[in-house]
Amino acid sequence: MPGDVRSDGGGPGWVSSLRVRRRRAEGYTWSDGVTANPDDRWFADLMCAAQRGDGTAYTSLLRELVPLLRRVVTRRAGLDNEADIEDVVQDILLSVHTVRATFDPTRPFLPWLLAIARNRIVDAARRHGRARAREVSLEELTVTSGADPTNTSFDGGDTEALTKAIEELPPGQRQAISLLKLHGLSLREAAAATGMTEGALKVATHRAMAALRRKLAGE
Amino acid sequence: MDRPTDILIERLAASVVPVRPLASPGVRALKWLGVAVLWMLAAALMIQPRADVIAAVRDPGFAAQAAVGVATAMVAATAAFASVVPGYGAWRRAALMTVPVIWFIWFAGGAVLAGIHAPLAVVGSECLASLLLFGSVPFVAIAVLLRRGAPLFPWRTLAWGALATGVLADVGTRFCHTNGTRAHLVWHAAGVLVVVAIGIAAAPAVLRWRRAV
Repeated sequence: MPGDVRSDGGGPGWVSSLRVRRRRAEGYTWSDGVTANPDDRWFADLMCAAQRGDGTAYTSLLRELVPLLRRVVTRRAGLDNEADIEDVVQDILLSVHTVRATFDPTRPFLPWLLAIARNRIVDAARRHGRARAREVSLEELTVTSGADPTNTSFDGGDTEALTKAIEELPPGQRQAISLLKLHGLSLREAAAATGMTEGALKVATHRAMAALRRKLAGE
Repeated sequence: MDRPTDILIERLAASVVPVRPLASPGVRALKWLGVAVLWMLAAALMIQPRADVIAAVRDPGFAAQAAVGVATAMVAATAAFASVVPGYGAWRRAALMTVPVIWFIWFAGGAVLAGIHAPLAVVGSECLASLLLFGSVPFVAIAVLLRRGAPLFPWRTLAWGALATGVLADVGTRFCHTNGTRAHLVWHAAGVLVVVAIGIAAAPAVLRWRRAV
């Protein structure tokens, strides 16, 4: 029972101090408030029982680990969203389950657990970093296209000059502009319609746009 | 008890079955070495040992190199098995790195002392083929054994495993090929590096977190 073990893990101050020093010497290197956890032996016993197939002991162990893991994940992963923290905690629990055979009953439990936690936290941080790089904040986007001045301030322009400039383009460039920019065809559709390659269409469009820009600027 | 984490715990506890704790990394490495040596013997018989194998074994230099090779393979394999057990101290892994360094220095020393008596290209194809044959089964065996552990550092783990395999294959090859020349030594070192590269390339496919439920 948890209570029994906790009382077993207590004792006079100097005993606890000795235990802390011994555990530090055994390699408890994380500074997450778990360096001197007196429950280590109890956790180890529960894990041994779980390795023998004891579901009740396993449930107790995992439930006891959750608050500890939440604390570790919050500190190490730098996550502030509760759902994200919970995701990482669940990841760690799943990993603990998958590799529970690697726990050696003769060795301390917490370094074993924290090595798994550290690995999963690093993976989660990497995933979050990638997802964040792909995301565009909704706050940065305008609600309607009306906020973009180019969408509202168009005065029609000199359509006559534009039409004339397009007509003066070489046939290939004119066709490309007409299909891609005026009729809105995709590159693939335009290529199928004209028999040109997509690369040739891109070049023709690029040259046509440059020529139109020059003509309309009055060069 | 409605939180997803609590539900997950219930599911994990319901699916828990008895598992046998893994043996210590040293013991696992020893078992792997046993399998690998058996394969080496079989492969050596298939290829045919070199004509002067008895004399070679009696040569203290040859025996010492073979012993250093086997010790290196054993330590590298132990390092590989230790790296799939969470919580092993970093200092222990660092200590395990020293023997491969000794082996490499030994190897490089041998290469400097030996002279080139054979064409590099011919030697290379023979040595690489033998190394790959000798290393094939030990590599598969160590990959299978490593998959029972935690994939904490896949590249590092498989690099250690492949180094153990490559070095052991190198020792095995020496029983079938005369290899006192620098050309042989160069190609044997290259062969070991090829095996390590294969190991590193295979790491993400061999070692990854599997779905628990």
